Amino acid sequence: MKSIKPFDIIVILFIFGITIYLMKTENEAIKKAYIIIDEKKYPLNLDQNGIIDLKIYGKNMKVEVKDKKAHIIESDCRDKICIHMGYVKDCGDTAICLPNKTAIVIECEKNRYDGISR
Amino acid sequence: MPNMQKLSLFLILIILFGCNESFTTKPFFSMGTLVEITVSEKDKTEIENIKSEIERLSEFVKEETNKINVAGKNEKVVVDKRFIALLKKGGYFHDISQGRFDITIHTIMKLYGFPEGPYKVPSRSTLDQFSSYIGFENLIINENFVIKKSDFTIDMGAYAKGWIVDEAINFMKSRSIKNGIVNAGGDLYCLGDKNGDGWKIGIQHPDDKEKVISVLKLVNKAVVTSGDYERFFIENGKKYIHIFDAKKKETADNYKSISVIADSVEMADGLSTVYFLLNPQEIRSLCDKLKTPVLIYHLNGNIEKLCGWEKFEVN
Repeated sequence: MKSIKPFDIIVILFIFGITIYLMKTENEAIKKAYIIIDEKKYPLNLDQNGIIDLKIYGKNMKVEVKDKKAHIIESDCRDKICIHMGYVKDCGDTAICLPNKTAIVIECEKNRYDGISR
Repeated sequence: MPNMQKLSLFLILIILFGCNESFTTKPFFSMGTLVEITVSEKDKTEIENIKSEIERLSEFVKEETNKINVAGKNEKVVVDKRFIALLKKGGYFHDISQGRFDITIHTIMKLYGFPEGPYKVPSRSTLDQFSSYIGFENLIINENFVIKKSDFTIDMGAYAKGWIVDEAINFMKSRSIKNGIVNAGGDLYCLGDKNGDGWKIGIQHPDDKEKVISVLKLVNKAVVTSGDYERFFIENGKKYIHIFDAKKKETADNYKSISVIADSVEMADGLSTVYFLLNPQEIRSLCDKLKTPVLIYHLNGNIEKLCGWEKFEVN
């Protein structure tokens, strides 16, 4: 029976390391929240609770961040769909206000899905 | 030379893990929705061109639709040939739905405030008056012009968005882009694959947008969902959704959502609305004939998968 050589251990450790890395990135995707206003993306800090008034961007809208989640709480659009869309908190979540061309989205380095049909 | 073999294995592993193409997504607002274009890093300089193409086509549909909507009864309206083809597609969806799908239903949908609100239920007399104008047969389509035989207005929102996505995909192909996704508010096409594997697409749960009801792996396929859960209003306990049955001339809250897989987004888009207007038996026989897999989310929460939907599913 052949004995295990140091080179074998390097190869085994390499494969093991790659596997652990892939599993980690699959499960612990780094979340980034953004507010998209007229195609410009602004980072949104989900760790800081509070209400963000989008008036400074020329939109009569308010976004609330609470417990690592965000939702649109006020909008002057007629249909109010964005308010009904509720909280965004996970990879790929969106709340969109079409009349105001504004959305809050959560993006991840490795999103769960390449696209969502809704 | 056992060490040489191991070194080769080591290098192969590095190549395997190192050569995966990475992709980038750009969101923007167009066609009344949030559009997302995904392409590989090497193609990202084309994103602006794809976006311009989508905006140009969106404007084209809007302008041609408007020409018909402002025209009077019996007036000859000259429209682009590509728009004639789109109108004829509306005729096709009208036929396969036995008249329930009708682009002239816009005539009464707008009275309810759809698509953008504010929403209200119109009076019976107003509804009766405008209902008499409805009917695809009242639109006479010629080679490059149309004639309205009554005072209706049209809206092709149910499938024109799909056509625009298909055109955007054709544009991408003409630019030698082999892999990517164009997603117009959930109406999407998966071009090619993602590093040799299908694109992973989730179908949103109608009652909980943080969940999905099905996960697909798609290559060169379109998927579209029509639902009752985004554009609607409730008045006196009745739910009014944005999908209307032209035969009954009223809102059609038949299902929570219907998703369709097809070879083009135009087809998947139109069929998701057509199926929404049919009963499950009719859906079964039509999806079998057209070979378009369907996922039905019933009002009671039951999920029904038809015509080979499972073949595209992954865990």
